[in-house]
Amino acid sequence: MRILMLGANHRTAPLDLREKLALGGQSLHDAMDRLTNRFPLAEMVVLSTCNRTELYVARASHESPTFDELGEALSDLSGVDTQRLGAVTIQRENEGAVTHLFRVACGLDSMVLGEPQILGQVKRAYDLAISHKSVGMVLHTVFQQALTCAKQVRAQTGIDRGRISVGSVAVDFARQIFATFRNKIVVGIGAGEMAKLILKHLKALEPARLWVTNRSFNKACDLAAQIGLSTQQGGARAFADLDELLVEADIVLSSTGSREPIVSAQGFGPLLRRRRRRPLFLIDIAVPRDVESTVGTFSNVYLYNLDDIQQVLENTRQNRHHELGCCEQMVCDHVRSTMTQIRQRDLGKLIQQLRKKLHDLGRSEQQRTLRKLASAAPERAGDILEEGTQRLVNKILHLPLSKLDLHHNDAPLGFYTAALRRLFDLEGVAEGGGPIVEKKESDPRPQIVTRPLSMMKDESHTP
Amino acid sequence: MHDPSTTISLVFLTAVAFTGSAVTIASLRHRPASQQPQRVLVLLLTAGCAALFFYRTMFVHKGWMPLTAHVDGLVMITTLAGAAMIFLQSPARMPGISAFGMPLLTVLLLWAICASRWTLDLFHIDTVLKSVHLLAVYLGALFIVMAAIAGGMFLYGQGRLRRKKAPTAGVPFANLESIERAIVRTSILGFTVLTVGLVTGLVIVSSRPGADPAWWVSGKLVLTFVVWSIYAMVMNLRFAVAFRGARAAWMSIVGIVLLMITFGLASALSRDASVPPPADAPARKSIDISEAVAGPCIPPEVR
Repeated sequence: MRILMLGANHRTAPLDLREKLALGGQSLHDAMDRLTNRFPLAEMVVLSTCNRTELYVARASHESPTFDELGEALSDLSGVDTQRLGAVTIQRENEGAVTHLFRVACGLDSMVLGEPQILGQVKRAYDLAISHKSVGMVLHTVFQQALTCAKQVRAQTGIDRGRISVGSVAVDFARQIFATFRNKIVVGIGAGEMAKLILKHLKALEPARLWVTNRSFNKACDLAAQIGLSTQQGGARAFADLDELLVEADIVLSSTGSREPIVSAQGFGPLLRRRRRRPLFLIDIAVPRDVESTVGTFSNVYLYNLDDIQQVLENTRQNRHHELGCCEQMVCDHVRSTMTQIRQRDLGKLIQQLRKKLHDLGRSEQQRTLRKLASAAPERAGDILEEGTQRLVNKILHLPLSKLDLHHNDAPLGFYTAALRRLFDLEGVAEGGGPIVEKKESDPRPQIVTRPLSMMKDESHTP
Repeated sequence: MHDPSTTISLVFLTAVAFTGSAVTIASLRHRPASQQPQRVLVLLLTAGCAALFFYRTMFVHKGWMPLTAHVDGLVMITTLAGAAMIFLQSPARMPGISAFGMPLLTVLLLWAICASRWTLDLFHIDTVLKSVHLLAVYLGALFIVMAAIAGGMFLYGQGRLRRKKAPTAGVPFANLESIERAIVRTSILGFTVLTVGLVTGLVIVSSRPGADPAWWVSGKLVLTFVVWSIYAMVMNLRFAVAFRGARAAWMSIVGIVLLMITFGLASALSRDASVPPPADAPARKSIDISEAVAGPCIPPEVR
């Protein structure tokens, strides 16, 4: 059994190409149908996210698809020509493919190390393949182990700990201050892109009200519309109401383009008394800063600027990188046990097939011998049985020995020789057709029988 | 009637509390792989104190009356505080409380060792009012202890935020709003219950047969009343200047310090001579309820 992976990701392909390769929704379902029709004997899972599109295939050795065929299939699905595709795709096989999948599921191959979304995406890809009945025993094992490995890595290391975006860091700090947000008022000052992103995070906390204010009231209204504020949730307020907003607010996000601070310590002092010392969380992501730093020294006022938040993000990145070695070791261990499991299953099937084949041979010879015995004289029974046994042994040996091509330069004779020696316990045979040391059960003393190798092979052809 | 088993048990429990303090404080800095050791230590401490309280009630005093001596009160406070910590330390409520509760419980248990070893004087409880008085005093002290624990948590949490430390670093910690709410509620409850204790104590002392008309001129009573007044002022001032944030946290810590000082000083002051011992007092050594409330941990030769 072979496991193949062919795909492109954020490391190998530029964004425009990844956009063309990306499959989602109905196009992903159609792609699965087309691939399973094209390669009916192969197991298949397609993982497609904004940063990667990868095909995972398990098939019998010497069956299709090959990497070239997979490349052509991907080219047909995406409309990207095979040559261009070949330059940006990576190929992995067997242990390499499994390792790649496990690293992807653990978030070790993501653009943001340890990001948690990829685990859900891998699971959804696996579930979709199951629904299309394109997953067999091998990919079931591989994907289930990948999910287990990812969960274990996340539980036992800090690879996914900490926040990776400004908005989520701001929300985390807010959660350290406030127990609930349902009775809280959020105020956004300014209307930039970053403000919009962070306000979306804060809106998700479902505060009592979310007000947006800006020197330009129209921009404030636009921003309120962009973040989807209903009239019950809040809306735009005039910039002249800033003092009142600072008295009402529990969380303030400031992101204006002002060259001078818009909230000074002198102006804020009287407002603090009116607030009756309610805690205030101030996020100032403007450069130059909108809030004087001394405002952060007031009682119950918690002021964070962009540097503070970036420092948290940087600490998160460093902590995750420290965990990388441990994660890679866990992935290695899981890959090893998964491959062992797959090989043992393959071997089990192989042994079953071998037994069946040999039993079939044995049964046909048995029938023939019984027919001869029935029609022959009793004194001939011994000869007939010996003849039958010889024939059976020769037929069994004919199967492997007929594949040994002594005249083929590329035949891995050394490998076959070692395998035969090992599998049939012929450790006493010297290299180059030396004497064979045989042991008989009746006589444990080793008996030396001299027979050249070529004669042994010829004997196997004797009917 | 010193009971060696009590002292030995208290020493063991103090060791558990000390270990728990070390483990929980360490977890504030470095996130442990599991919270299980902390939970086990808190549970062990609470169960141990509860077992000791039960043992003393049933087998030492051989009766159904708990709080027969100051050590019983301290063990009761420790048990109830431990149970509160078990309930509150879940991530949904007030995670991180053990790191601040365990050191305080260690101090209480050390105090209990003193109370069991040197000053095991029995309370002379002969009326329901006296039982109510004792219970109110100890329960009030329990709430003040919890308020102080919350106060310590608030100051630590606020410090972390001021240092701009990443919220997800270290062990999960309660948010400031929850902690502040806990401070206010436990302070109010503690003050209310202590007021009941003070009033019942005044009634007991004033209604004692043969009491001097100037019974209220007693060092202990004056000190207790002064401390109570400070509390009353703070409780009312909170509506004016907002009993919030770090201010509330510091006040709750000052509260428990004042409580401990009151206990200690009141016991150091001599028994009020204007209050003769009851005529029907038993021959065995016993002390007035009001002095028992002070819960002295001072060897008799110093008193």
